[in-house]
Amino acid sequence: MRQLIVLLTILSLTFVVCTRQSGNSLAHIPYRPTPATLKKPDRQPDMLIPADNPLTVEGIALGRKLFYDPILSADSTVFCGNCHQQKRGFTDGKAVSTGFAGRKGVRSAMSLVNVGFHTQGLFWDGRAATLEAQAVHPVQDTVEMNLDWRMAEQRLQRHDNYPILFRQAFGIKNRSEITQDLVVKALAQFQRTLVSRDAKFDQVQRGEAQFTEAEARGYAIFFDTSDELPHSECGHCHVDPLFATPAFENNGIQAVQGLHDFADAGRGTITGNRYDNGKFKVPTLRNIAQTAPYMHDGRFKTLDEVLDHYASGGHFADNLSPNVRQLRLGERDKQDLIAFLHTLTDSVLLNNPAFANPF
Amino acid sequence: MKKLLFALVLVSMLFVTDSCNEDKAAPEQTGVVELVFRGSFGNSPLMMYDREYPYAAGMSLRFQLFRFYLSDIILVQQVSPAKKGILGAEIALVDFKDVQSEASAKDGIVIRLENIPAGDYRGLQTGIGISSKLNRTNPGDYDPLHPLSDNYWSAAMGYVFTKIEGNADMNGDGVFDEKLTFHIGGDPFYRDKPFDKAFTVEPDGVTRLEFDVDLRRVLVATPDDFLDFRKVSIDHGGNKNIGNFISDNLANAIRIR
Repeated sequence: MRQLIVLLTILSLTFVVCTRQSGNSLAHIPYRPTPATLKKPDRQPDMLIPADNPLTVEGIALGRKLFYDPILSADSTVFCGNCHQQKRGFTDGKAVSTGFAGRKGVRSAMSLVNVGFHTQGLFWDGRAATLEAQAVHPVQDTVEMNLDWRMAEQRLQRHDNYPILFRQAFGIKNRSEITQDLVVKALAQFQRTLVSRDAKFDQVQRGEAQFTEAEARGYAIFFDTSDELPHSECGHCHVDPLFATPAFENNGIQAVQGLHDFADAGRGTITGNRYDNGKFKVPTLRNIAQTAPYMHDGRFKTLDEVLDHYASGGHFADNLSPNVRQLRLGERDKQDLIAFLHTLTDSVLLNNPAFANPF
Repeated sequence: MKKLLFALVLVSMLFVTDSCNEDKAAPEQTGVVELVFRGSFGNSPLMMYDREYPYAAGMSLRFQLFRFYLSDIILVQQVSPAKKGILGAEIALVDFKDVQSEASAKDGIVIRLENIPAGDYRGLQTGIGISSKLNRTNPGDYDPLHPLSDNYWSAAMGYVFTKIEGNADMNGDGVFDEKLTFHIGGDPFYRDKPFDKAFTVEPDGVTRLEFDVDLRRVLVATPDDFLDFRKVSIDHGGNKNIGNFISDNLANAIRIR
């Protein structure tokens, strides 16, 4: 064992020395990217992957490292994984997230589970079209990581190890070729691998498990499949297998006099369309039991509170989703719905070492 | 004689080969057909959110969503005496969700059919809804931008063919607080729909066929036979009468100009 450690140390030193000896050039390091493939949930369309950023084992590994490295924050204390924690379904358990120097954001951290399948805008307001475009924002956001991208590039270019990893992932020939573009590509590749397809719900769909009586009843209420049970209308917006839709909706949580009175206008701030004010991206319900508090501002602490809100029919506005309407849910109905929601917990994803902090 | 026969065979073969080359050299001439769908509610342009529409029994309506599928869009050629059809598209989604202004209402929803053989046509044949064959598929069979990547109802193992969502002012107080959601799907609600209209597809040309879709006609069959939101404001396929009412009316509500 001792000999092995000595050997590994010598090899590492040789590698570092070789890299430094050759100056900024990385051309001597082999570039043989290994294509990576993903499994998707049943009945889910394929993931749209940009032609200029195909998934590779090396790109994913680099993206994972960057995701968990505070090097991308101004004071080297904040990293993506702070707000997107694996054990919490890639959320942070807070109503609004805390970023650089303890600064508070204005919205809750969204789950990244199955984020690669989303096609019509990321963030609660949909302002980023792709994961690559999305990853630009948190680094430079003064509330989140507060780092100028030029500075981020310089830090990575000067780093002992990152130039090698960028070479292996993207074939750069020189440290100076580490740019924002490649950083966000690597981050996007890692995030595309965060696929959930092994919750109990999936296993039941594949015939590998069975719902309990309460879960089955909750499923029927969730998807409005029985005329003998109350309908909850949940399945219109939380469509399986993602338990989300690409749409933006006003789900009635904000009480307003008119369309210009929303405390947070959400999608409307991006489109300028007043009928988009108060609308937010429909989030996934996968791992919902791990992702409290709920809504874009984390106003609901428990699933009971969420169901009470929906049962009330929500606050009226001209753009309130017609699918949010008063429900006749009894206490047993609510508890069975919650039992069903727990079947969306994917412990395989929550414990997958491939998604864990590598440091 | 033997040599002459051999030479003739050789010449014939050359001729045949040459003819084949001629076929390859002259590919079929094609053009584009654009189907333009403009929504209305009676005599008013159909716009989501931004317009109020008077309805039966003193009610008023606003809409947030109106979409429906077309399957097996076949262009019927003017070949006498037998009809011959060209499949223009296996599936298309006519979606008025983003029609929220007079300008976009005027533009309409455009379905573009490419590589249509040039020539004379006598009309179209299509299905309103999703054909039985395609309704056996699911979004996992398609790429994310395909019309069938969405609107799937897994619990029913099929697609929602037609969605109408909006709000009603039931009592004239100006508040549209009654929510309306009608989602219709399932093989029994598929309707065949022919459109008689002569048109010509020019080589490399674009032929536009214009359709009017009257949402009022979908909800009102006759002055005495309409979807009464005082009695029902929601249906997701459970009520066959409503499903048939909307499906029949939708087939009648689409007209070619």
